[in-house]
Amino acid sequence: MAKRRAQRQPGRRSGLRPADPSRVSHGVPVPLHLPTLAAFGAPPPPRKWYWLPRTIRPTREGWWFVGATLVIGLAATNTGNNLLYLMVAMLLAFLAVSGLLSEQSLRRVRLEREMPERVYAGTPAAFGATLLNRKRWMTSFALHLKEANPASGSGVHRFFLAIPPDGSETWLYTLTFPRRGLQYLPGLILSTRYPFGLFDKIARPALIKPILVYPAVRALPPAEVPAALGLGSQERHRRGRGAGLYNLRPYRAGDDLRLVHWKTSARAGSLVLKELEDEEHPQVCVIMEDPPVDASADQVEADLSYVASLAAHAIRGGAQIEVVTAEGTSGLGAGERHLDRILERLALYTIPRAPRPIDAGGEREVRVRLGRRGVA
Amino acid sequence: MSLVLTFRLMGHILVLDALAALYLTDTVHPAALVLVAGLTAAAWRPDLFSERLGQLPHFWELFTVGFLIFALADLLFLADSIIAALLHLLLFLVVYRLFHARTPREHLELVLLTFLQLLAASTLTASFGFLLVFCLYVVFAIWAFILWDLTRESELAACPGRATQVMPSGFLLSGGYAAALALALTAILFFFIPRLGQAFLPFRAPLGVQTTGFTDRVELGTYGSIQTDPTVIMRVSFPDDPSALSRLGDLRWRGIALDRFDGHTWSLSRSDVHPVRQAWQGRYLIAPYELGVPFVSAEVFLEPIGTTAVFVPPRVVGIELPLPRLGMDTAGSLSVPIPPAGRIRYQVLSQVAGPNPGRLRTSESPEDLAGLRARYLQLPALRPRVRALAERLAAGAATPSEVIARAATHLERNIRYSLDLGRATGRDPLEEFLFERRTGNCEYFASSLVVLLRAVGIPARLVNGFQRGEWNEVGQYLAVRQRDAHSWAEVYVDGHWLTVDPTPRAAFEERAFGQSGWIALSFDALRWRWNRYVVDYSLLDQASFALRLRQRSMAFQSATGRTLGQWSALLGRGVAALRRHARGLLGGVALVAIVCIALRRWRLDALDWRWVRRARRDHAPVAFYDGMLRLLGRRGYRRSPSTTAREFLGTLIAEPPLHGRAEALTALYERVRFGGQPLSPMEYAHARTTLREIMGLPRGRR
Repeated sequence: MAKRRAQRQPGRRSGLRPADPSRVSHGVPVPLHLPTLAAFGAPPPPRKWYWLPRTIRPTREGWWFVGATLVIGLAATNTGNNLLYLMVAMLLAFLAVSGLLSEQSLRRVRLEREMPERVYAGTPAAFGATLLNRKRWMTSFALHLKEANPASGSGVHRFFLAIPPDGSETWLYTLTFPRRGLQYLPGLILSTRYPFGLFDKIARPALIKPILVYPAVRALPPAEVPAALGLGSQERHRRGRGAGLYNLRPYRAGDDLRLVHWKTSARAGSLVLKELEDEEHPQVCVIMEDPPVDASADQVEADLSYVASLAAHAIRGGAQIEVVTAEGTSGLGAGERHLDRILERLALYTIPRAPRPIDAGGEREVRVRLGRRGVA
Repeated sequence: MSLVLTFRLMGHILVLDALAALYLTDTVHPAALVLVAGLTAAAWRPDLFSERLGQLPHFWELFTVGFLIFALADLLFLADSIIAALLHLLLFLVVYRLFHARTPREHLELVLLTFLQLLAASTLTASFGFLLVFCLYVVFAIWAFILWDLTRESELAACPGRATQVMPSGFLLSGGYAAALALALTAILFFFIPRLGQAFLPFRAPLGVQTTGFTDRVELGTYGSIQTDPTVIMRVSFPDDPSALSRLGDLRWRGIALDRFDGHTWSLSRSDVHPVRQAWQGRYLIAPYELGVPFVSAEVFLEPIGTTAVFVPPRVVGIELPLPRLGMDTAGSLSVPIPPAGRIRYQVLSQVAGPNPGRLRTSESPEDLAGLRARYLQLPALRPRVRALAERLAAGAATPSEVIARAATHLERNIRYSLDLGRATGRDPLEEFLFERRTGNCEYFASSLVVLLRAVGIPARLVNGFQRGEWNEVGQYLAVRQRDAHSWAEVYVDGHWLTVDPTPRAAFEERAFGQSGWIALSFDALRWRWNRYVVDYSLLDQASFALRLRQRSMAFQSATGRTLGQWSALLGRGVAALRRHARGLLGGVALVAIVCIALRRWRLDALDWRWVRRARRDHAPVAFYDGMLRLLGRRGYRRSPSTTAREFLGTLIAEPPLHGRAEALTALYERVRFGGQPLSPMEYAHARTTLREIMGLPRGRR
């Protein structure tokens, strides 16, 4: 949600508000205040009116071509031979046609991007880009689509030979973000060397979108799973949606047919339904303490990744979890949406200059001190 | 067809096109070009060729070494010029690449070799055929370069399989569009690239085959073959006034005047040529002009015909020639120092004929009269019959002019024009012409007249040149052909040289040659335009075009200024009128605005105009129901699109007065909407009354 909100209103909110420690109260979720986008990653390119929409770079063949044109032009001027002038005019016309056709190829080509649901730091995430040729008659030829990979610095690239009028082509690729946090996608760069390969005409990077990169989530080995999460679920001796049998009763219209106890029904001669016993899931509170001043950033990041993995492990194991930091609490909850809330909070966690106190605690709490991981 | 295959095909077509360009240059032997063309066709399936040659070990290595040895010998001893030797080498490279092109880059190298061929051809020819070759080259080169780019990029993008696939749809359209664009832009750029170079003699090989015909010695009968040759050697346009031709009368293009006759051959006794005064760069003053006589300006394109003579119309005043020197001999003939290697273009300014159209200026002063008589009365030993004829024609004549007229008339009436110059006897050529054969061409006629006049003491000379030529209606120029070569006489009478042409060739030509067909004229016009606007395009043309553009721009500005002035005056009057009636206008505008706002606010609902009612009844049969919905909407009852009229009526049950009226209107609505029965005027009035009642009902709480 926060990610979607950030995409919708980039830079609308002010910077990260340091939460008042007195406001942190156990169990009451504190709304997450998104930082400005400029606080993370590269700033978006300026969109001023005087910016040219394209960058043109001659290729090696282009330099040769221009050189040959100059030499023949010099010969024509020196000799006054009009047929040499005709050759020069042809070469210049080729240059002009190159410019016009390359523009024609790039014009009215629309880019659409497909984003993954979640992006974890250090894990390749699948993206999609679709090129739509909105021209009615002209095919777009020889289009290159590139995007820089934040992890390696080098880009990923795809060549489209031709996109017919009103046609489209889709490209699926992966990007890896090395760091967590709110970052910018580098932007899709559409370029072409069409028609003669003399010039590389590059459009401005498009679809530079903010993206929230969650901390890396990994499968926790049993040794790293705290005891508070190892208790499993407990039956609560009341009707519910658990696994154990609570009661048998006659079937009523509207009941779920999957719960019919067929053996008993056969014996009784009428449909008998089994009622299930409710189960109680463990509730865990992860208290994430700020790192000490001398903690290494890598260790802090590793510990954040651990907390994220812990939350994922707990939620996928059916537990209810709450993550409390000095900035606030995620509230107690379960399910994937709640996991998203926790991961967003962890993704946007900023390391303070000095550790802040957290006044929280409970029966089944897991305390993680960033940079000095110790599990209680 | 796959991208690679199409690219190969384009490469082969470009090779053939470039060979055609080389053919136009006459630099490479046609047999060599035919051989390369055949190899180009064979190279389409190089595997078949290689299979046979594969039996010979190191064929290509041996062939290459052999050719390099030949190329060295060619450069040093065999070829006519260095460029010819280089072209031979270029052709070898083309053949080698044709059989060894595997990758797209190697095919591109082939295309680049064809470009070098075209480039070489552009410096060696100015033929009209080059235009066709060039246009084809542009079209196929565009396609070839596009295919090269697509093929290479497909390979670079690590999808080589794509490159061998069928050409993408839209390629032909895009390539055709690009080719048309390139041709149009080439034409535009060609005319706008500033011609900074001022090379007087373009670096260009001799254009076509030079034809001899004009020398300082003319033997009788030598024009026989030339006079049937239809090759155009001179094109003359009148850029200032195309109709000026009609004012030039009996136009002849004077080339060289000959004074010495030995009985068989005419020659020039004095070869001294003095330079003509150059008033400005390339502008020569031939003679002072006469006041009151109009000028005619002609632009001449003279093909290289191996003569130094500069052909001009009679009474020439000045000439603009892009050559550093122009000479004039003692007989008034203009010439350049050496025969031009290429086509020359010059502009001639002459004065049209005055009272005596045949009269020419004399370059001799009265003091030289004795010398003039001695020079132009020279005769070889004449046969008695010839002298007797001359004396008979002059007998009893009062003036030299009468003698001239008698002699010319005698020749015209008694002798027939013919190009059959076979000698029947071993007599003196003129005696045989005048008394035995009685047929001959213009040289015999002119020579006879000059000899007859000289025999009776009238100075005369023979002039060679061209007669008028054929007017090309398509191109609006005069085409002078080889067969228009002509001889006539100039006679010195009363201090002036008079042109006299005794040859009756008009009827003969009409019979022998007729008029050129429309296609021939059009083709020649195209060739002329190619020469005029491409090959000989110059800075002067650009300046002239710029000047015309400026004049038109100024005329446009002037016209626009006048129009704007008129509009401004009109606007001024309008503003003044507005000021006078400002209050009334403002009031009117305010009134209209108020009415518009009111109409928008009330949406005509409250209006009870009869025409509105009628319009509503006719055009919106259920408008009353819409009105009811709007009124109910204001009260909070809104009908959703999924609600039927009856269901909506059910929501009003809480307000019986409203419900009752709405029920009546709903019934009417259902009848009109679904029963197809329009409201009668009475029902319509009733519906409107009901609406007013709804409007007047107090609002209940919802």
